Amino acid sequence: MSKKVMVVDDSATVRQQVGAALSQAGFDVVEAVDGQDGAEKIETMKDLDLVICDVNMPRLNGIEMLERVKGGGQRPQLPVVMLTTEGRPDLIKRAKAAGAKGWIVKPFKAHLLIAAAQKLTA
Amino acid sequence: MYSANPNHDCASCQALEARLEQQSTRLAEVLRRFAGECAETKNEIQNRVDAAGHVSEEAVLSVGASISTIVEDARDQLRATQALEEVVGHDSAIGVAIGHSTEVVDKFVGTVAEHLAEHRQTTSNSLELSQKVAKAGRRIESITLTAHVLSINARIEAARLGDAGVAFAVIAGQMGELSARINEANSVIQVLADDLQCELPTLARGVEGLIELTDRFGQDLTDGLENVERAEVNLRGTVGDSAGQGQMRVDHILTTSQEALSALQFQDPMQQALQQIPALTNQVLRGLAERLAVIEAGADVVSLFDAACTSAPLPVDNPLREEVTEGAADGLDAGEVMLF
Repeated sequence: MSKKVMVVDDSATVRQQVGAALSQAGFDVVEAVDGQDGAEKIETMKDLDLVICDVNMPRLNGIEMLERVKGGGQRPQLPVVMLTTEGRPDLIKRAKAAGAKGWIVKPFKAHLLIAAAQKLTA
Repeated sequence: MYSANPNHDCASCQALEARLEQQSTRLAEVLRRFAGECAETKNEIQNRVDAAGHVSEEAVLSVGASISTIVEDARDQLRATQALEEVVGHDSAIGVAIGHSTEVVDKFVGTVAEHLAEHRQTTSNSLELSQKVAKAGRRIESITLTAHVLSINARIEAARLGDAGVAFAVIAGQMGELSARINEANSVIQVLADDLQCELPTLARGVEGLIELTDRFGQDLTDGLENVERAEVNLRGTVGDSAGQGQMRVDHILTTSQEALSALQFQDPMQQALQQIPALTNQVLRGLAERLAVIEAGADVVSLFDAACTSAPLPVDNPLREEVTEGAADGLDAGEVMLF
């Protein structure tokens, strides 16, 4: 049974690129257009295995979404990886403190993204 | 974009793919450097925007504090004017005092006039009485003269009777003496009456003068009170106008201040423009990252195509996994992956 990964990004192009890479590697991919959309879908989709999430997004940014999901205690074991152009240590620490399992700096390398996804869903 | 085609010429295709991958990697490196420069520029802009925002915020707070001081001063002035208005108003202390003073003065003038009228009447009665006294004195004088004549005649008649008229002569003598004493007393009364008649007109003229002075004093007081009342009305009007104008000025200051604060806080086009810069820069960076991702994905498709051409299966354990770094770091560069 294939693992289900949610890609949360306000850029349709990035969602398409990440989705294409993960699909080719055998993952089942769903999309969310921003943090608010992602948080709502995570609450309803109980079969998610991994979330790959942008940081800078309208309405609810990625770290706020992470804090909301993890803070609410609804999916404490759901791994979340941040995929962003940001590489600042303070943001990385904040994400780690909120429960993120990884940080990938755009532009991503597809094989590294897939490797990380495979490791976190194993 | 590439696609796997099992009928292609592998050698040529691989050569072409190698060149494409090389160019793609080079281009990606250029773009990464450019992205790094953009990120530094964005941070610099962000710092300057933050500094400008801080200065702007301090300016707004300073202007706000100044306006608050002005408004408070204006309110103090208005309160002072309203207090003055209460002092000089219709039911004010000054108004009440003026009304009371008017009543007191009216009462005083009336009482003085009444007393003077009584004095005038008394003076007039005294003059009339003195005249009657003088008239009575003249009658007494006439009577004593008659009595004196009678006593002389009685003495003559007693002398003519001799010894028989001795007693009669004694009575005639006593009568003459009594007449002389009455005449003397009447003379004194007459002198007093004359003096009184001389003094009473003077007293009457004095009373008349006093009445005139009192009337003039009363008129002056009345004029003065009317002037005070007019001044009070004028002052009340002036203070009322001042209070109204003060209220209007305070309202105007408040309105202007609120507009100014609103303009400072929400309508500063420069601040708005500055605040948009980081977002715009982020948008540019995001677009750049998307294009890099496209390039990277293209390069990765090449490797997948390469794998398909050689009919070799994808490795189950990705050989690039060792590039996945684990643990904390002092920040990441483009393309790096960190698992916590």
